[in-house]
Amino acid sequence: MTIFLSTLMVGLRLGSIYALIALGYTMVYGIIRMINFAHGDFIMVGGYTLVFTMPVMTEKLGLPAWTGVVFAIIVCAIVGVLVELLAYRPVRKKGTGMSALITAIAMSLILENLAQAIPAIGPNPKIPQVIFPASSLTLAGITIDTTTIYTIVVAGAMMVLLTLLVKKTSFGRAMRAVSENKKAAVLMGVSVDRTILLTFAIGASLAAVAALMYIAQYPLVFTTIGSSLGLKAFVAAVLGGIGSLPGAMLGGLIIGMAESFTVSYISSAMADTFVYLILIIVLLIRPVGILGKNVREKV
Amino acid sequence: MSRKTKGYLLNTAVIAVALLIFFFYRNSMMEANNKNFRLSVIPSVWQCCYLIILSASLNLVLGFMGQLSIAQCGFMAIGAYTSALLSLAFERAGFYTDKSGFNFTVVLILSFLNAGLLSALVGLVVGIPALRLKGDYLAIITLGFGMIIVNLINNLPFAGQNGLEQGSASSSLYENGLGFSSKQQVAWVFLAILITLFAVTIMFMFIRSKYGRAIRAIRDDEIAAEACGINVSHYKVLTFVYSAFFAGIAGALFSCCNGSLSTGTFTFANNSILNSTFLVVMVVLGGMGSLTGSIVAAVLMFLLNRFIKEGEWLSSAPQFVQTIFGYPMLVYSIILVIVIVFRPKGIFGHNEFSLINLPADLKRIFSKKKGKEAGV
Amino acid sequence: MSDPILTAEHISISFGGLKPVNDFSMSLHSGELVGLIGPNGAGKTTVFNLLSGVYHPDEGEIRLAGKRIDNMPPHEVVAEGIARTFQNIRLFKEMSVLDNVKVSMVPHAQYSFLDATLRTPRFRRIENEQDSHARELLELFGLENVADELAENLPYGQQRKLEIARALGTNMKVLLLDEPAAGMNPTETAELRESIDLIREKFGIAILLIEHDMSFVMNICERIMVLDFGQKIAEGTPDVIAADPRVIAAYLGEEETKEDPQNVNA
Repeated sequence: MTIFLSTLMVGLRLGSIYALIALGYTMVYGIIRMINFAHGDFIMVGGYTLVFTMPVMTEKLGLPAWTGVVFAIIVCAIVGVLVELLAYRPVRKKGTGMSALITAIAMSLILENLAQAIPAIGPNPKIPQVIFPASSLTLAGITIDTTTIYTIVVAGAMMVLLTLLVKKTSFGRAMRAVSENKKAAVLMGVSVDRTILLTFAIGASLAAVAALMYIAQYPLVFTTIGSSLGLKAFVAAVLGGIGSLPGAMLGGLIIGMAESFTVSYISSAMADTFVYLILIIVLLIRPVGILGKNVREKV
Repeated sequence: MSRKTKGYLLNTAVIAVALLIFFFYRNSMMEANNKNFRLSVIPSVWQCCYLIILSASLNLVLGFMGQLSIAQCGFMAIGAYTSALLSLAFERAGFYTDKSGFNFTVVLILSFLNAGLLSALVGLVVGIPALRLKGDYLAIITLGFGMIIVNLINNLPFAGQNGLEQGSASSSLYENGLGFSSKQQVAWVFLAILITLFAVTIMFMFIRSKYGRAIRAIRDDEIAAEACGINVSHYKVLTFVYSAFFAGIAGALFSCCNGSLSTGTFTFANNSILNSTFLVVMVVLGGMGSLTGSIVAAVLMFLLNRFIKEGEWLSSAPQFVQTIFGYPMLVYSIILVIVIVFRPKGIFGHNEFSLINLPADLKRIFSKKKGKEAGV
Repeated sequence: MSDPILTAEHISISFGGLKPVNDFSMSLHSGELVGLIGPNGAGKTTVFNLLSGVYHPDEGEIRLAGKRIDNMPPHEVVAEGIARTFQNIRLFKEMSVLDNVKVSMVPHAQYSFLDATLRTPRFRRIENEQDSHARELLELFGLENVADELAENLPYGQQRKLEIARALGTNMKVLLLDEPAAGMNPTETAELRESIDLIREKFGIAILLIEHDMSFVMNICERIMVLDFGQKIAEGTPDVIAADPRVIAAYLGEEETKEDPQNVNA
């Protein structure tokens, strides 16, 4: 029973992180109908920013380490906006869906390899400092470490904030309008380009928060950290129904649980294979995902 | 005689002459025992051969049919391992001892055929479910299947990283099975060239027939293709399998000229030139929908890769240039983005290069340039 | 009169809460030219999509020459003998004009993989036959001189014609034309009429067409069906239709919304 409960908590923690990343995929997909393959690499950008800024925060300013996330959010948002401006936008304006897709794959590789080419980063992994001091809470017989609790709470709060942003603000309305119908949105005075940029910035910021929570638990940052994390989060987004915010959260939790339970009860080597299998099965049985909308091609 | 027939004849004649010249060149180099020729020129020819087959075969799916599949290197891995293991088995059974003569030729033919057929079979198994999806989803699912293929090979008791029993796969291939030493690569170089010519030719025949018309129609408008009576999923799977067959053949060539096989070579992105991204760069650069474009781009990218990896210019370049070129994938991805943004059609677009059109093409290109200079 | 070639009996389809086609029945005889008209959003194109297998009806039956076709995928419906064009032209843009027509002959090219690879006499014979057949079809529409152009480079009117020529390559018994005259100038429309007359003369097939150009429909069609809110509200000769009060009401309703300037800006 204790194993079950702690597995459940690990699943919740992983799931919250995947959900945060999946939200970025889903928001971008919802608005430009393109899978941003480079989204996983925003986690890597956030991770390295944290590695470099946290010592400054603690040693020079005497603030807690996690405050470095402010810089991570800023840097990630800038990188997200740059990727959109320099690569995706020109291709989208000119080319086909195919060229946009190829560009996205290329951008992912560029970010990963560019990071390695930066001398301060290099090919070797970096170990960040301790973010949340180790402590734990015992509740109803099971011990939960505080990082897990922080992760779940922060992820929950981010999701509530994001939902409010999309539902209540004028930016949220603009975003929904653009994803519904770009031409009509333009006629209504919505700046499509600006909305897309903001979406990229927000998606990338969520990746920065996910990076903080992830390296708080697994303190190792390397250039390809985003590819497997990103892929799993992407599976989560597809599973929940890409383009749907609640879908991304649900999908994230399911994938987190699946991974946690496979590791605990089957084998850790099988965990990734299992996630791929979920992806293939979902794509084949219900490509629009659990909460996704079925869109007919207009003839 | 029609212009088309004339074009075919002209191209064939020029290729034949080029082969003949190469034949005499090789013989004289062999007599002179030229080291550079043996250790540098010939391995390059081999590498170009399998890169050409790979990029042309991917172009069928990506350029002509308009479906992005990133499982191509997985199929290549199947071909490489099949041919290596099969030839090794024949050698251990004592069917041949040295790599020449009738028996060995039989084994070669069997290995190549089986490499292609097994890849095609896996292509069928992957293609039937995967091709129900389009666009981004197809890319993702082929990525997943590609990884699963590589993982499976890794975990096979008789393949994998250390599976070829007598030591690791890397040490055994030169000594045993299909692996050719540099001298044998010189002796068998025409095998590679002829297989490549043959493969490209039959891909051309495929494209210039109802099959090619059907898949180009699918690329341009799937719904209209169905309304013309085309069984879209049938042609999609057929082309996918056809393409996988050639990727398997390319894999067999790969295992001939490489002393080692390791599944790491065939993953989605790594720093060697054999990964699915590099292949996509070749196809896009040459022109999605141009087989000759793929051939030219394969050779260009090979030369670029060599230039980056072995060029002496690099050591005299500034430090940051050296750093950047230390990560070839970075260079290739940047090239890919630049080509897609500024010349999405690649070098050739949908056009095929043909000698008979060369004078007219050159004329057009030069008149365009003049026009630009005159500010038109 | 002989048996109808194409019949639809009480077909309906719903998407979510909408029922774009509701209990629609029709029949079409060989050699007939029938118009399908109705205000925007009346469900005309959905009827075409049902007849051509793009959608499958929730209820009702569609038969071609007596054979049920309502559950077939589009390419099988084509093989049975229904060809169509599209409202928003769907050409194979990056293929030549000639190849566009030859695409619809792909299912009739009875040669194998091996024939194609070895360029056997059989392959060459079939390819040559299809080539000349496609050129004949292009000639019907005066497109023989642009056979080697890319389809996307043709002017609009010629693109519409090419789409019809392509549909004719399928050996059809029934031809569905979705707004063939849309966007054409009067000269082009007149040419189109001639071509349609020629097609009927040459192939003796049944044609069902959707069109908004009333004078075109009234002049060319022998019989007209009127659709409104997914249901057939009238059917008859052009004269009867022109005088039908329900048709006039349906159209006036539409004219009003169309010309209401406030509606456009809302």
